[in-house]
Amino acid sequence: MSSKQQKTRPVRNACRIGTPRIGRRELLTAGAGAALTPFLPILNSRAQANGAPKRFLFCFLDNGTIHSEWKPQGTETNFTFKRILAPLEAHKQDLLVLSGLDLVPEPAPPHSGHPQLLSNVAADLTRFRLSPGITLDQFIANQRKDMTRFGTLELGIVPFGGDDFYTRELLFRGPYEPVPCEPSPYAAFDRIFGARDDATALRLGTKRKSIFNGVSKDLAQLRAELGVEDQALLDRHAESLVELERRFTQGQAACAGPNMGTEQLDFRSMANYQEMAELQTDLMVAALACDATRIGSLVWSGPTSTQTFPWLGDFGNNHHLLSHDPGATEQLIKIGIWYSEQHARLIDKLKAVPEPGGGTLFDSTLILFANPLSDGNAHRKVDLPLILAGGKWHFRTGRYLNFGSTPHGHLLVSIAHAMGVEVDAFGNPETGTGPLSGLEV
Amino acid sequence: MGLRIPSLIVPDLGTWGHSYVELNMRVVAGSPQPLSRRSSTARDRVGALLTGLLLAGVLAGCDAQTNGAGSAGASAGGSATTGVVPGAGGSGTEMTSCTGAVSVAPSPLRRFTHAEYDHAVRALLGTQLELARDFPLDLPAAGFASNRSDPLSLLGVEKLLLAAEALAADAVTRLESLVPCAPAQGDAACARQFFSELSRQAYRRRPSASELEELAQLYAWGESNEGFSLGIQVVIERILQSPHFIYHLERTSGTPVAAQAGADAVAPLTGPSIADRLAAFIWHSIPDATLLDAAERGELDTPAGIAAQAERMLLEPKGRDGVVEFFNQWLDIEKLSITEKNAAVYPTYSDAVRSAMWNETTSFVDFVVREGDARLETLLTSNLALPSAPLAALYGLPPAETLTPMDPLVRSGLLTHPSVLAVHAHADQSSPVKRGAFIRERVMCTPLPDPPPAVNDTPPMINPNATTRERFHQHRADPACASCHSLIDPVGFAFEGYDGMGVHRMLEGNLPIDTTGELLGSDDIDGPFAGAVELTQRFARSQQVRDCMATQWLRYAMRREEGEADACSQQTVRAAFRETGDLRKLVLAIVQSDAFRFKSSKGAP
Repeated sequence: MSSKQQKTRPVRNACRIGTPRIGRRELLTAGAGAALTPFLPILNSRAQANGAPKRFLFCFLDNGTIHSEWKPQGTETNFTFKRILAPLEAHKQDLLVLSGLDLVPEPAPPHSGHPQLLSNVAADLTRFRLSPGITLDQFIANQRKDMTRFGTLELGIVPFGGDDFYTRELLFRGPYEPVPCEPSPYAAFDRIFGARDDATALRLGTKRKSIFNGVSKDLAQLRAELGVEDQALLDRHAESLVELERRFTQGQAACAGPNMGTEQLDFRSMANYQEMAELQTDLMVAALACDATRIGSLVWSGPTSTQTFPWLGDFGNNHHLLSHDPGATEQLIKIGIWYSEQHARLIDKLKAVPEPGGGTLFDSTLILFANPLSDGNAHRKVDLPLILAGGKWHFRTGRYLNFGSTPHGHLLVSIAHAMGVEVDAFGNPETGTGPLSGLEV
Repeated sequence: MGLRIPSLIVPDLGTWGHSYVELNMRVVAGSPQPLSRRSSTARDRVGALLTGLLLAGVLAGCDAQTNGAGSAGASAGGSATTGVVPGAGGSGTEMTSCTGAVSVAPSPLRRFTHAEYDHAVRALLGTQLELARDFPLDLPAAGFASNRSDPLSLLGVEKLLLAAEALAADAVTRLESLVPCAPAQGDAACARQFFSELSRQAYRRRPSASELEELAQLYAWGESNEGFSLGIQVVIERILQSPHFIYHLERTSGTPVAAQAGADAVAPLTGPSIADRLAAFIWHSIPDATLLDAAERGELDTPAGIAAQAERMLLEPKGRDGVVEFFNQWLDIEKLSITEKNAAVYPTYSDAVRSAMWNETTSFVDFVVREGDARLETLLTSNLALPSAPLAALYGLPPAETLTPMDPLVRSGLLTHPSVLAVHAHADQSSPVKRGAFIRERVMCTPLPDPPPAVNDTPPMINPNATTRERFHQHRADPACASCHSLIDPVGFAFEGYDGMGVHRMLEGNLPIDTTGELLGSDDIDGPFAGAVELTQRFARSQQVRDCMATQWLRYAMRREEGEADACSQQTVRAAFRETGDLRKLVLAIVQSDAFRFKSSKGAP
């Protein structure tokens, strides 16, 4: 599918080199070739003792950080957190704190790093800073074909702000195909846990299925009238119908969603950010716990977040403007601390969910906390503040590692390996092959 | 309730001639009406104007040729105009000969934008629900929401499903006003009549027998489960999810117009496809029965027939939607809803204020374009404002609910509206760069490159001992910045007489504000100016600005950037607008252009 899509999409610049070289088709058709052989054994060798599936969660923050309070002090195994990461102290032994990883090449314009963060392909500046590649979450989902109700689940927390219309897309399922996030926890609840029982779910599914049948026929019929580029658009539409139909006929997950509160708040309002953050986090944990999905993204803001934090103090400006104010270091540290508290809460929640086969949900989850900028004011895209949490079946955690100046693409390869997807490189092959050294158990 | 006549304050405008009296009189001349109603007088007057335009055959250039190719399938012969287009190098006009075959750039498939979807379901079902804001973002093209060549995401398809279900559930609460029978007596025949008509309007063509059969089966399934109402509900869900509804499916008729070797195939659009483009352009919606009937009768096969419908549509109440949406997107005031201000600096900025700002600008443009003199000059220089209660303090006037003249030394046209000034500013200060770049790109069509990679684009810190203008000194001092900022900043500085939310000011702190400057790099309006009012006067007289406006409207109509192959259409449209500066005439010129009436397909089967 994806290789056909790549051929038919209009391509307007040289960034195509960034498309992952090892696609699904190659893996499946490589036969006795090198790609397939190591694949299954590795999957097996890294299966969980408790039989739980592996999960990957991507958490996105923007506007950079304050390195002096973010970077731990000390050595690889003997280090202390400074102010920003202090709230994660209780989980220190479950973390890999990473320094010295760079976006390569460092993207040129100020707000263009976010599509590169998980795709390792520079944004296409001529096309709304969309990515001509695929992001790692989508790639892993494609490779694993878990057949969960949601192949991937993207939840956004008031992801509207941002002062540039063109800098809002973060995740891509293929070249120039953004994967938008669900901004409403209430809509997310209905989509994930909506039907109260199987009978209701199946009845709704039957109706939707007969409507989809007709819509699919319409699409097939129209396809014959159109040129190849337009056909590709309808093909994507038809594929989505198949995917949705599969979800609807799978019935309802056998577990309840989180408590959504009694009052429905305006999910677009920055004033409700704390409540929306809590709800979306709880929904993500519940969705993973119910095995509604195994690959999720929690998008803590749109790129160039303009969120305000009145509960932290009278900061005057919003997050983006503060990140450009050299005099606002203290405010930015406080914002960083608050986000670390939320990250700690997420980990707490995952650790509170027992797995049927023993252990907790956290034991089978790998989280990447990432930011496309280090120094927000200067738009520096090197020495990014990155943290891996969990994934202990693959990674030796409880360490602080500084890679000097290494392309961050290697980290994406490491994550792919942890999730059982063997690739030599991800995204732009010119940033080198292989995983980061020294991460693994 | 009538509009107050603008006061006759006559500023001395020196060399730039046009007095406010003259400009404002044009607005007033069109028998002012309350904003909420149009009188037949106004309508007749506009109608007469438009008819006059048609009779006069204002359109020059390619039109002589495209008239000939109007009937479906006729080949477009080689007649042409090779007019010399003067000046306008900076706005990108190329000398183009309109000889030879019809040439238009490709228009890849696109689907409804948010606004189109909401307007379309309102037209179909009479709903008040606006659900499209929950859909994934529209993809812009050339500055306007377009969704061209943009694949629907999985979430997008699911949101369409959920919206269809919510709209159908909402619609059947008003069943008696929707179906052509008493709902209690509803039967299969009544249902069939209902969904035949609904699908015709939704698909912008007559449904086929097999389509009606499928709808009948869905109705029967729903009816057998929970009766007539559910049968209707399921049918509505089906129609709203059809690609025939969601996409703008543009069909061509007849033999493709012979193209030069290697060029893309170009053919005239069918009547229903022209109807679809007209409705998307002028109403931001779908065609009504009148328009579809006209298409079926072949009336949209000629430029004159298209213009007649366009003229009618512009004056229908729905015409407001198309006009408002142009300015909403062109001026970026759609971003007001996400434009936050620093409460310490702008304590009076509130939801009520920003929504009043938006209402002011949209009421003004609708009045000028559809009821007033429709002149670009009026839009750019009129001192009419709508100081409704939330804005009264901003203007320092008693509240009024009608367009009211302001001090012409302070307010001069759209670019001095608080909505525009507030959007193109920072949260805690004005922004000469944002304002200047916006005007350069959107009003003058000056292409601006991205800033250099390593640039620090942070506005200089607020400093009580320096004005904003002084703080931006770096742009002139650093040669790397100066090449672009010498174009941008003087334009922005002219608007320093308005703070970050558009309030007029003479001082910044205790420091006097300097709004003088020199305009550089234009085609026809370079030179020193004294401030925003004089600058907007100059824009109003500029051919470059007129050409730019024509281009912006063409982009809006086509929902795409113009390509090289559109040069002839662009030239024709510009020529028509240059003569009159009349936006209603511009709309008519656009719908008769080749770009609007023909379609070019890459790789068609």
